[in-house]
Amino acid sequence: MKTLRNFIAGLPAALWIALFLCAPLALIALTSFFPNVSSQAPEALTPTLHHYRRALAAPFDAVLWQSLTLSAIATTLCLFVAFPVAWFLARRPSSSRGFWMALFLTPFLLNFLVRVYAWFVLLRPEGLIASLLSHIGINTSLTSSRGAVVLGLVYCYLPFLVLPLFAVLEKLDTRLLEAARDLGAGPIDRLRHVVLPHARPGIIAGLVLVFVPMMGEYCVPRMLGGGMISTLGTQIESQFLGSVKPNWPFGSALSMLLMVFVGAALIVGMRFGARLLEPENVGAQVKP
Amino acid sequence: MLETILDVRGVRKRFGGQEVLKGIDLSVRQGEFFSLLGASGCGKTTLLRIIAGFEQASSGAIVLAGKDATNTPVQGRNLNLVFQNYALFPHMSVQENIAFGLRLLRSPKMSQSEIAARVNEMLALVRLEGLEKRLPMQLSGGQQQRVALARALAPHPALLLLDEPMGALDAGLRQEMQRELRALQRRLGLTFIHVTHDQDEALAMSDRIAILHAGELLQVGTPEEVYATPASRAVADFFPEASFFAATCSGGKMASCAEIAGVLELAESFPAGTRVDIHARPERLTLAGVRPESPTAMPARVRELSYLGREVRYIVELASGRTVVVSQGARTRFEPGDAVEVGFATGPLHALAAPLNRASAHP
Repeated sequence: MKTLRNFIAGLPAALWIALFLCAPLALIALTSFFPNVSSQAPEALTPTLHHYRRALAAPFDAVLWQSLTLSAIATTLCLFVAFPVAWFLARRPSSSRGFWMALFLTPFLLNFLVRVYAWFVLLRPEGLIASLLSHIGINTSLTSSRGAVVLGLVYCYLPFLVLPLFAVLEKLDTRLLEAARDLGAGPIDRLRHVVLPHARPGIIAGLVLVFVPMMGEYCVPRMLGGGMISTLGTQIESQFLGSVKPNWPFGSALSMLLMVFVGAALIVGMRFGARLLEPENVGAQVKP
Repeated sequence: MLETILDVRGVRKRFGGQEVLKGIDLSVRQGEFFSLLGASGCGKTTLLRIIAGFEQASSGAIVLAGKDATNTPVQGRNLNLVFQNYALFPHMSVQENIAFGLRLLRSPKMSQSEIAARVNEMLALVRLEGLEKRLPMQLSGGQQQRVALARALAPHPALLLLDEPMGALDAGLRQEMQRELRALQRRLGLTFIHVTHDQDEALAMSDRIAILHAGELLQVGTPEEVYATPASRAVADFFPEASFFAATCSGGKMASCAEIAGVLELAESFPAGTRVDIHARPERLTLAGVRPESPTAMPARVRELSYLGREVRYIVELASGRTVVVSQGARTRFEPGDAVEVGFATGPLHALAAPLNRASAHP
């Protein structure tokens, strides 16, 4: 009786997942193994690994690598920016915390595209920053560079790292910091031995939340990369939606590879990151 | 004369517009168990935090072992603090918690084996052998307190500060830890400065007690001095259940009291005509059945009593209508409603000069 009730209760969720997650995923997986020809052709029914071979060979291997490095760099930078921000927010007295929080989050209520476009306006050759720079004699193109893409990624995904960090840092008992100070710990020792071990779950959650969508991001590289920066995201988008020669099976193969890469990167990153943040390594076990 | 280890000189502290410490002067001697006693909000914790270096005094100086330490950072003061809720590092084992301060020692730097030896020594000192691998959350409150103590003692500070260390323990454990802490302090010969709001705890543990009230230091003295011969009405009121009797000095150590026939002997002499308040703790008052013509006794009636095992505490109503608390051995028993006589136990009485605007004790 009870199992039946549980079964019925779980049914809508199971149906939802089956219909909107498993089925499309299976469809994409299936598509990725068939040639890119109209279904009337006889060779359309022969499965092939052609798309995967193509995706992993030049020039697409460079695209995969580019996505991975850009996301990794942007995620790391994001952590370095987000940590002080989260620390600042968490250390505000509760009376003014709401104000600072609102101040930080308000820009992110704007539409994603609008925010990225705003960066484009600021960075484009005739934009504010470039013209200011040219006044002091520096002539450089700010858009269409990997730097601009990284900047855009860091900016867009900042809240997803700040909020989990804020959640853990807010719960940090300040008396622990005082106790560490009392026992002779300077600021760096306090950060390493008290703050980081405490913030560990928030750091890991935040890094995952930021890294995963960055890997598939296509809007930021497209708008700030000026068509020069090709990532997995932009490739997949153009294979499906591109006006020239769309190739759904190839796009599907890239999508599958993206999933594999994100999964692998997460496993490696979590193992490595977890070990790096392990109490024995961060805690007091420093060898003299 | 014992060496002075800490001098607090004219320390004032202002938070916003409010002055929480109004010029505190006190000195603590080497090897002393010194308590800062006061109700919550009296400024005792602020004073402790100023001594530790977590707060800066608005004015005044802190002198540690003869050197001005007013502007020395927390890390530079040779003292450690046991926090109220212990503030143990939750992700570190007992062992790592105790070793934390040792690993950060710069001069002389301790080797790995020296640290291990000191940690074991500390574990033995607070009787926690066998628990070194546990995390703080796997320990009981009493055990956590011992870890906090061991962690603070491990770097061999010259001065140990304790912020309400018994606050989170239940009554039985508290008494046990009081005895243990006192014994530990004697054995190590270390100076302890202990903040508490519990009068009994301060009396039981301290060599000297400083009584703080509303940011002012009322009196510093041995437990006996502050309890039996308080310097002011405020200190006397700090230990509950004291009674006061208005009297007038007749020169020397003699006084007469409106409520009692005969002449009373005081512990100190006052000029003739001085109005004083005789201060009597429950155990300085006696209770007897009504006898004909007792020279120094006040007729009274028993209102309530509470049996406390070793003693019985009576609340009796005097002829004037006010009530006093009398503590008696449990042998003779009176019941509510009994007519009795309240007198003073033999020996000179402690008196305080009455304030100019007459207190309620004077009719």
